[in-house]
Amino acid sequence: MLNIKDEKNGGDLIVELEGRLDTTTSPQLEEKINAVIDGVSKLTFDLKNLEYISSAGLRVLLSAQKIMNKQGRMVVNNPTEEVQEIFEVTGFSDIFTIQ
Amino acid sequence: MRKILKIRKFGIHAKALAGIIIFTLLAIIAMCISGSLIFNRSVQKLYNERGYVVANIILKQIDHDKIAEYSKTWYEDDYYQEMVEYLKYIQEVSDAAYIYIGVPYEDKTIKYIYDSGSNMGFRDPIAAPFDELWEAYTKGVQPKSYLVRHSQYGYLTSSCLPVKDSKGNVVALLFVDTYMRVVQSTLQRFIINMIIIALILLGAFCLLNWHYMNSYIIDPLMVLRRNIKWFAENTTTDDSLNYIKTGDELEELAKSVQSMEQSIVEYIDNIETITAEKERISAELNVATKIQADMLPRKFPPFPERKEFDIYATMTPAKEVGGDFYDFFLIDDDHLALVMADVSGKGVPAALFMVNAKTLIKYRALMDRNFSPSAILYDVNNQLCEGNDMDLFITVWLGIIQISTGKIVAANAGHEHPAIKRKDGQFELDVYKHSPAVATMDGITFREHEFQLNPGDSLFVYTDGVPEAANEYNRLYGTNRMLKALNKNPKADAKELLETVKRDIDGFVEDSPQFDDITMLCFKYF
Repeated sequence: MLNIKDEKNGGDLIVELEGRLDTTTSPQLEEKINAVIDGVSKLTFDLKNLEYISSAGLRVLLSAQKIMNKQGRMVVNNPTEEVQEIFEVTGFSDIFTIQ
Repeated sequence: MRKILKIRKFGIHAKALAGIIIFTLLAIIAMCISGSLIFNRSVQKLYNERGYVVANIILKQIDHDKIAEYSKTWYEDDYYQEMVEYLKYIQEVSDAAYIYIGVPYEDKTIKYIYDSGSNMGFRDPIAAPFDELWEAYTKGVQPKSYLVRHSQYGYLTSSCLPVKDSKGNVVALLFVDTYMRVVQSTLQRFIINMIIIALILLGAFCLLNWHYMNSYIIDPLMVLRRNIKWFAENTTTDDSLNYIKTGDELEELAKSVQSMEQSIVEYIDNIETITAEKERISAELNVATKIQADMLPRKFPPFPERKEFDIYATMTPAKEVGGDFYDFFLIDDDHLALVMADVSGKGVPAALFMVNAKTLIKYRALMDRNFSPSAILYDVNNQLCEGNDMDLFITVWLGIIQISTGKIVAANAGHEHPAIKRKDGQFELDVYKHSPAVATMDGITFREHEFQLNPGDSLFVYTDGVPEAANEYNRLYGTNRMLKALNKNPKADAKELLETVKRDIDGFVEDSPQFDDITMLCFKYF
């Protein structure tokens, strides 16, 4: 189960994720991001309610990061301890800007 | 089948025909009854009224006081003869059946003063309804009914008028009887004519209705029925329904059925194509599974002549093909490379990426004379980043062991922490800072990490399919359970250790479906 809330304010896009971001739910997020990312200069992911992220979910975040490298910047906010650990283990903590 | 069809066909036709005939017959019978009743009554009235006209003429002409006298004396005088002549004349010209004058008595007899068929003083039982005659006699009124009766004198209607003397007393009743034979025969003719006309109409109506029902209802229904039956048995359709041109709901129904059947036929064709396609893909996936399995070294022990170490590894994909892989190969006589990797995602895309990654890592490692995992991954990363539009990435643990010394140089590109068991100790996670996964970003570098294996030590590497195996309550297996399973018998050989962990995972997840590939490798250094 994954709930996606997105709020666009000019070039600022805030995406709030709730639940699990895994193989079954990540296509949902990918579709959402591809639909709204045009013209975004700052993308913020709020992960305070994200329980779990799998490698398929990391791939979607990575795609977003690659797009944002070209058109602005991306920030990952408030990951839970579990998600932060996954970022650490997979080395994504070196790639994402985590706050 | 043909027989049933015929019987059923007769069934609906016969029902329609019987319905029409019964309904029309009932209508005719009702028409005849009501027609003859109305006719009979009006003809009776006509005859009866004609009788009254005659009676009134007679009443005007005869001497009422004389009648009063005769009712007492019962004696014929000259006037009586005159009256008889007159009455006979009237009877002759008026075509009346009987004309008579009489006095009714309470014993329901009548005593004739004059009767065209008998003599004065003759007594006869009264055939007409007595109450009405008695009322006419006692109250001096004209009877309300037509006094119709069948008697010994024939089928008659009586027109009856009271005869009053000059004082106004009723002294006798004057009757003019009219034969109803004419009425009867006329009525019979009427009914016969009516029945003949009705039968002709019925025949015409039946034929017309039959024709109409056949061409507009029954035949189209039969065509529909045959078509649907054929469709149900053979799942093919023809254009017979296009010939239903009734221009009403039936034509609409036929068109709907036709288009529905065509859709179903197309749908079935589609499903057949899709199923065939699915079977083909499934067959190909089976081959792919086999090819992928063949790509991983599966011969154990892999290097029977090397007594310094023992290796065992397994890969259990979640789908037909997976994104996990392990690998091990000798770079030279003294250097053994161990690889454990996991492509993001699963299935065919991950498998294709995995093939590329595995090949690149192996050949880049074989070419490396510095035995540097960091350098190997750097090149592999840059290669994989080229044209990686799908943004797949791969976590890799790559270790190169100098067999003679037990020194390991490893790079961990976003992969799980390996577990290490020291001689006589227990398996523990070896936690250190990881580098990002391979193929995430162009040009990134990978940290190297060095550690020492001593004789009797073991190394266990695995993919996230192990700690993230989930049971039906969505609880994860976790590294703690994994370490516990490993430590049940840490001295067991590599194969047995892996089997123990797999059994423990299976016991934990029970019937829940496997979400991720499960891959493990154990290296024991003697």
